[in-house]
Amino acid sequence: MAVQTELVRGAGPVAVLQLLAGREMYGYELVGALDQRTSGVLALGQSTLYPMLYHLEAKGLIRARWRRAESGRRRKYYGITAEGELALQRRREEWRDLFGAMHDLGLLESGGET
Amino acid sequence: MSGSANLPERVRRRIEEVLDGSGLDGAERSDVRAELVAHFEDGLAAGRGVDELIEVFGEAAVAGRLIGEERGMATGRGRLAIGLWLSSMARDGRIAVRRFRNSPGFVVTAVLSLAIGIGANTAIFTLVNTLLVRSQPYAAPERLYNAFLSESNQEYGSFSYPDMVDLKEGLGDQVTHVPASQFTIVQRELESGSDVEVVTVEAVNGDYFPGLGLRAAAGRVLGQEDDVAPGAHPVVMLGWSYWQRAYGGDIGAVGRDVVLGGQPYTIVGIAPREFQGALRGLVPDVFAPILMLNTLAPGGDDPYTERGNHSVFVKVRLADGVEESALESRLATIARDQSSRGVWEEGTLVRLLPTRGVMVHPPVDRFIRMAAWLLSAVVALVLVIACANLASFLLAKAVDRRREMAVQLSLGATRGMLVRQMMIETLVLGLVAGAVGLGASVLVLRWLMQADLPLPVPLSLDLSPDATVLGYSLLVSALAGLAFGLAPALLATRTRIATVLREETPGSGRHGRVSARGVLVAGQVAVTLVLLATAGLLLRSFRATQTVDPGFGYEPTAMVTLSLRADKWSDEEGLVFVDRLYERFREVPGVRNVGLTGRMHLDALNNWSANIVVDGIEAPPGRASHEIEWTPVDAPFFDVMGIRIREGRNFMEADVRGTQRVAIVNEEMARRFWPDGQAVGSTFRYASSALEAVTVVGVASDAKVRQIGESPRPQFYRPFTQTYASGFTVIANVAGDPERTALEIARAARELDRDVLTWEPKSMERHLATQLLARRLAAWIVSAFAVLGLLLASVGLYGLVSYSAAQRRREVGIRMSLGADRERIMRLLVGSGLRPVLAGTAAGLVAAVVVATLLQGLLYGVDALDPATFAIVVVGLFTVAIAAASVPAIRATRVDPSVALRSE
Repeated sequence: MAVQTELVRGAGPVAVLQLLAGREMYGYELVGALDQRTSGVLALGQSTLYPMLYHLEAKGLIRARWRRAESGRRRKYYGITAEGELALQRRREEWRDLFGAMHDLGLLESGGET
Repeated sequence: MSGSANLPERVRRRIEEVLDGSGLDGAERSDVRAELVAHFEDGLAAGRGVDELIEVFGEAAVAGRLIGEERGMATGRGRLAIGLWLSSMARDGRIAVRRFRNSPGFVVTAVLSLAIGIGANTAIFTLVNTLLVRSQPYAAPERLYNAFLSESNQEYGSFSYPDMVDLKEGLGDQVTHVPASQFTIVQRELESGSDVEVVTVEAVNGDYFPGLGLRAAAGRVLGQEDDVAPGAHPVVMLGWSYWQRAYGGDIGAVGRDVVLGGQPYTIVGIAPREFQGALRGLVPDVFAPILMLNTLAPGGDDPYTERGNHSVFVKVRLADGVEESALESRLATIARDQSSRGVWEEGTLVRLLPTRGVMVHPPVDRFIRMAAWLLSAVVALVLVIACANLASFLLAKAVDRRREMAVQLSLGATRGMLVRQMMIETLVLGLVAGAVGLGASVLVLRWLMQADLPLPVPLSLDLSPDATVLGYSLLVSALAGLAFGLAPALLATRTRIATVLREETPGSGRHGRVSARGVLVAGQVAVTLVLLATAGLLLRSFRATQTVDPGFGYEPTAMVTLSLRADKWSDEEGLVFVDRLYERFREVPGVRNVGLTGRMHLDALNNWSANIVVDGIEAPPGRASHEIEWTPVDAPFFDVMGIRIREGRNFMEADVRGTQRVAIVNEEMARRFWPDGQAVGSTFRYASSALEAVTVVGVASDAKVRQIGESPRPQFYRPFTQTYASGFTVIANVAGDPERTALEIARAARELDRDVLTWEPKSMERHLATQLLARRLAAWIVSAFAVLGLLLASVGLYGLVSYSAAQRRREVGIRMSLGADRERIMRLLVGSGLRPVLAGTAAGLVAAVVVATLLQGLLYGVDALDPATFAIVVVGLFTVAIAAASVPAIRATRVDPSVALRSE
């Protein structure tokens, strides 16, 4: 299920923002969610997930705090910021436009294999 | 963090690896550790195995690097538009340093190879800067010109004193000053006692210091008040270096007396530090008024009226508002006037060259420039080889980094940012190497200046690095860093993100990169071949000159140049004194045989010629007479030198003034003027003299006169007893150490008369070495750089083959398990390494032929396209290449096939 194009550039961060827009999550939760909810298409290497989180945090799009999880263990939870919401909104529109355009071209209906 | 103790050892180790790779410390490190511990705890809690968890986590090094970069940035986040660029540069610099901490082996190799290249470039540039670039500290130098007397036989001649006076008078108000000076060597009596030393004196006129716009560092400069009447100004200035050396920079030296040539002179000032005299390389110890020349170095002729003594270097400073063209036409008028008065030869001109464009003397400058270009080109090539090595190495690394780059691209970094980051890494390397190279070049140059080289003049160059040199090495370092960083940076970042993100092995695209490295190795080989061929030709040329028979100096011989006080003795008294000197010299232990000559053979700075007329032999076109080298010698001279009398007789005691004027000619002169073999008994006349003709009494074997490589040059000898001169060189065959005996002869001369000036006591061997010095230096320096180049290129080839062997480990393993023998594998690996060597050799041969053809003029006794040299170079290069390629190939074949197969 490898996506072999440049298409995924920028998809990873958008996916993370989208997941965090629903609720706060910690690292391992995000790994699992990305894998399951995208059927493995966006399963980023874990070694790249944390740098990506730090990157988004540095840009002010997400914020982190340590708190106890339901299991009682301390976990570092990431949540989206207002700035992140805005960025996600913009990205969402871009992706929507992109997919709309692809759809209009007939690309998506034929169920193209990659 | 607390929880980490519960984790398996392997997981904990993996976490620490990531943290080490990040370079983070303190709270940042603890925070990331806590998060990673939590990550693995969650994984284990979800029921996954340790192996699986570690594997899906991915490479620790990549993760560490990325985390370090992101967290490093997060802490220093000052996102001001203006500071953005700078802060990101600083961040890239920090990342670079962090990366280097993780690969010290690479850093050391890179810095050392680059330092060699940059150091070589800096050293040569320091020389070039001192000789060609560094400007003299003259005021308004654009108004200063060097004037030369251009005659039929010499394009850039200097002036006689009366010529200079005429010139100044003729120029009138077109110029403000006519700075003029003459160099001489004078004996100084040391204050401590009876010992003496020889000092270089620049005798200057009153216009000299004011006209050049120089102020004294202490005291005053010599001026018009010191340029009034001959012998009336017993004052001197000290050169800065001499002041430091002889007086320890003591300001109290000003006002003290110094005894030069037996007379006391008052020190009135110290020359400025930046001023090293008008001729670069020849630093005067003392400046004296030109009107004291007669007292300082009393010689036969009056320097103030004698027009044949062309020793005065003249400059002119243009008056305000006067154009160079106006000056030129005035000079033409002066030359016409002088010619019509019969003072100058018909057609003599005064030439002007801007002072800023003259280093030493135009004909010498041409040679220096050529040497400078040759050396600069050589060291530039060495640097190119060093850069190619590192570029090649980084290309290999680039494969490993593609994954990391891909991740960064997916995080929103642009390719430009990544290229910049990699370039900064190599830039940092380049700058570190530059600092090391600069230090090394300073040490090497210091050592070189202290080396006991047989130089024709006491050469003194200020080779301390100045702002220009520092700027140059900074520029070279930066360029080198960029040059070897750009290609790998572009390659590493040219990547399809998703492909690389998911790849576990960095093998794909291997062939493209190996061939890029191959091109680099081929280039290195080509450049090395050019260097080796040049070095080979210069070495053979040096060997050829070394085997040239100079025609004299076969036995251990000591030599000392003496100058007697011409004002003290008449010629007859001088001859008597020389006899006493000989008696004294024969008592010196080890001295077997003593002779003398007015002008030593192969003395680059001392050549006298006479214009002679031979009946029945036409003078060269446009000339009225033949210009022939000559020297006064005494009878033992021929024996001491090893020059044979082939025909006729030697000089005799009876050959004194008032008797028949006699000469011995060399074989070449006999051949040229008396081809029928009737030289002995024939005569010639001096063109300028009404005296009786000179009779040839003997023919001597040929000896080299001016240069070791010259074709036979006509020369004649006159008896010292008929042509006495107060300056001459004593030569003595010795048993024992000639250098030591030379010193003893000099001391014996001074003991006999403390006014005898002695200098350059040395052995004949050393004297001959002076002739070969330039060729020897050229040959050895280029060879040294060629060997460095070869070494660097071998490292490059070694790297290429070992990398390709590592890449093909699996293939090698399969082949070996299928039964291929080691020899076959070796051939496979070495063969792949030698392909670029072959290509490089082909390209290098073409380039070397072109370069060799350009060098033809510098070569002696060897053809520019000498097949033997080229064959040796190619075979040698191949031998080294095969060795460099074999070592890693042998290592690859020693691997156990099963291990090789498992390794991936």
